[in-house]
Amino acid sequence: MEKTSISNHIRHLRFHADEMTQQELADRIGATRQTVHAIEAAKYAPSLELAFRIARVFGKRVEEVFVYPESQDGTRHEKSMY
Amino acid sequence: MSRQEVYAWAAILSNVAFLLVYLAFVFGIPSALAAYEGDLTTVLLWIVFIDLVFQSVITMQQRKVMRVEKDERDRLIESRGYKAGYHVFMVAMVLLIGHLFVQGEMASFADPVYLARMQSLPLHFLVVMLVAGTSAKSIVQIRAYRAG
Repeated sequence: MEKTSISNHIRHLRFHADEMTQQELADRIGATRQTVHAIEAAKYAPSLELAFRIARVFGKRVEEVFVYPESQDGTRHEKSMY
Repeated sequence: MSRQEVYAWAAILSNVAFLLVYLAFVFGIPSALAAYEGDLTTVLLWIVFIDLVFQSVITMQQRKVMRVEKDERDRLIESRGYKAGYHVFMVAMVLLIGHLFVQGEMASFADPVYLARMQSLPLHFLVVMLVAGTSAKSIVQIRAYRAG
């Protein structure tokens, strides 16, 4: 699969989560080890649901786990409406 | 190697085994290879045997493993495989329909022996394309898994 523009900190988070293995993470999120590996290597962008599940395992918010670069699609941060 | 990739390899092996046996059964061993008929038969039997063993091992392992076997990425890759298979089937259908259209016209001037041979051709063509379509699905899946 092609490399996605969404990078992540999963490897780092796994290391700090008592050196959790890819298989352990895969078991906890209901995915295969190969999928966790592909996500870590930024070769696969997970669905929102899977992204939330991964973030929940580490007790983080999704945007703390996944990073989407600002200049990728020309979008700019506007002031929040809320 | 993921389990789904193993299944894709197994499917290709089965397809090749089936296709070789089918073609040998329908069309016979090519005359150019007639001298090696015994060896070819042995090779065919070995391929079928290896396929049977491979499928049995996979089935037995499947019962042991309690982990997730297929997830969203596998389904995405599978859908790409189905897309490739669909394209193969569409090309096959277009060729077959084209052939059926011109078959009537050909009857007026073609050699009768040639025509008689042509009549059973669509059936064999469909069988071969069925195998080609499923193989295309497996090949696309393996390619996607290999790419990461």
